[in-house]
Amino acid sequence: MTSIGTSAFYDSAIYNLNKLSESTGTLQQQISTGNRLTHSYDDPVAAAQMRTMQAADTLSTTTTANTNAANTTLTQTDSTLSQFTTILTNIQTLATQAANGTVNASDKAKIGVQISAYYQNLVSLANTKDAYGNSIFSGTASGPAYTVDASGNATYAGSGAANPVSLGGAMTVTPSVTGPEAFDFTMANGQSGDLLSSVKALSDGLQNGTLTATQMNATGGTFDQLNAALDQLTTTQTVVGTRLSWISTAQNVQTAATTQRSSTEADVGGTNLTTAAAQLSQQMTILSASQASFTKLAGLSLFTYLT
Amino acid sequence: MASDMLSIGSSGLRAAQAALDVTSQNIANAATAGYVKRSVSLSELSSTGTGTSYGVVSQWGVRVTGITRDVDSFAQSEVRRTGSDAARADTLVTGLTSVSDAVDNSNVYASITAFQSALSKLTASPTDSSLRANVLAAAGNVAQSFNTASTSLASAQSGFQLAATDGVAQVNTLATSLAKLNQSIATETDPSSQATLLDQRDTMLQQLSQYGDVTTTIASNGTVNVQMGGASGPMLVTGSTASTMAMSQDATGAISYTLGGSALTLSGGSLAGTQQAMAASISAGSTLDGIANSLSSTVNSAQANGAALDGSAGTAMFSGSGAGGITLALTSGSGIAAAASGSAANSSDSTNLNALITSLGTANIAGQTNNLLYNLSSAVASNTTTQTTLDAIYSNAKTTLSSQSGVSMDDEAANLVRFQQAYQASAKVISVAQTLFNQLLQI
Repeated sequence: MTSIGTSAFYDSAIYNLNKLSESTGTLQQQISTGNRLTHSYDDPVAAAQMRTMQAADTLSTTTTANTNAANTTLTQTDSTLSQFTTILTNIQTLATQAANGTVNASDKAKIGVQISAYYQNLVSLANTKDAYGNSIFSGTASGPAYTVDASGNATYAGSGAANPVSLGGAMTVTPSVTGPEAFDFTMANGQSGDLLSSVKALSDGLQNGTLTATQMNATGGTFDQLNAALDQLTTTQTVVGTRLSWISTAQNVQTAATTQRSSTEADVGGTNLTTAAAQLSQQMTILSASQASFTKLAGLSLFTYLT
Repeated sequence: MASDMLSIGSSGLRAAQAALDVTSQNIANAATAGYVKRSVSLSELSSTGTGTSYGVVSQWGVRVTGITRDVDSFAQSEVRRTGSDAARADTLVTGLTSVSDAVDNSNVYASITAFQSALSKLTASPTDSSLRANVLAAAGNVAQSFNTASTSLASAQSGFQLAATDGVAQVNTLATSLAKLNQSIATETDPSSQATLLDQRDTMLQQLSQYGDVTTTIASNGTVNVQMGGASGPMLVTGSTASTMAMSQDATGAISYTLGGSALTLSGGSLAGTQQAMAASISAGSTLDGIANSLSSTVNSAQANGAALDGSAGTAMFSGSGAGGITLALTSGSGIAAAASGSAANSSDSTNLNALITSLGTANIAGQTNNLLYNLSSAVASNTTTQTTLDAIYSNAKTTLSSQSGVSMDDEAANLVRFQQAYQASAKVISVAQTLFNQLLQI
């Protein structure tokens, strides 16, 4: 004959009730925090996955910031190049006026002064700085892209192309163009030159009267130079435009990856509310049934019936 | 005849009285730890051939032959065995949890990721002083989180050391007490006093089994010999002598035990759990040291290949060795060698910075840390499963023992009624004997 010992009854009731309330506690915590994992050891595999994905999240914020910075610099380059084009077109108009045989020497000099003012604008535009305070046309060198000597001649002081910036994964973009890339040109006759020197020579020549209409119209003369410079600007703007659209592609890829990650994170580490709520309700039912039966059984004692 | 009835009746009274005493004792000790239910064993008192004529059986009533401890020694040894296993698993899980938390909560992984993130942020503008300061701060955080993890591991280890020292002291105290108890048991003759001593003996054996796996041999006189570490292990208690257990640590901090001078290998009990947790913690510490060294050498060799902001050759970013020793050596953000070697001062070249980012990726510092964290947490998870199983087995064994040798209030209530009735019946026998004798006198 085996009877249940009184302390055995209480011990096993305590053990079972504890286990039940522990599991309802766990479920309750999962529901209120929204996280299935409180500690790594709750589910080591999921926790390792979550860590990798959270690291990817951190790195992707940086990538997004870098992409935005590259985007800003390239947009700035693009609008700067547009201003170059506008000014250069104005200079072309003025040069056409100056090349007219009816214009006298003093008017030519006045046009030269006007072009000289445009030249100053071009030099300061060429030294435009980005959000970090770096010249956008100077490549990897710090400081201004062009330095101006005592007589006003601008010389490129920058270096080679800037380093590509990562756009996440294997995608990279070179966030800027250098001065020579944007302003140095080669004419149809094979002669090369650069925009700033050409404009400077034009302005000087008109002011001191040494530049004649014939010289300006000649092959490799002022008009050829200005046209070639304008072509170069347009080409550079196209390159910049392509890079900007590449950045926009990269941003779409990043957004898709981030969305994908957060949905996986919710699957791996989040609480499935429907399941958890149903389980909690089940556990609560079992717990209250166990408590009720414990109370009934504990009240059952032969001593109660002996008088 | 009538005098026989009187003495039979009074012997019945004595027996019922003894049974009621034992029942009361059982009820009083229902919740006493280690108390084993007692019962009275009775035997008939009769003799043949002593009467007036040969062959007539003379009856002299009942005799209390002893007080029995209703103990199931198999159930008791099961409680000790499963209790040892459960205690080992409990201690190991607690230990592994603190090791896992030490590394997890120090944020080593997150700080490495943040460092990588700061480096790649710097590629946007390698000359920017605030971005450089950001990298330096992130590098400082990495070094500090390694230091924190190392300190937390060390404090977990000193906890294990204390637990082992304390456990060994408890085992020695229990062994000494058991040896003394053996002496008392051997000399005690009163059955009810001996039952109390045997209860004490079994309680102590059960306490002992929480610290290590014990094998017991119980002699016919109730004394016990105890071996530790399995059936071929050294003796802890032999009769009235107890051997001394000791704990020692090697250079790495690993714990080993000796008993009476000979090596002791425990497979159960909290001392075995502590030993295993210590081993896991030492191994985690050396892996963490390896990761810290790998990080420091990867970053430092990349630094050496590049040029700092002022164009000078890059210097080491981290100094010191191991997770506990790694420190940020670079004092200024301008010391970060982002540009290729030989670059001019203030160059915004990021060739070397990109090389550093790539080599950190190749060395897989973050991945190694993730693996370490995974290994630690999965050790906790798998041992928790074992612990849950062993706890359930232990709990079952305790319930079985308690059902067999514990006090059941219902049984005792029924016994109270039964022995009260027996007492009343015996009293009635005496009263009948008196009536019979009186009638005889009236003749």
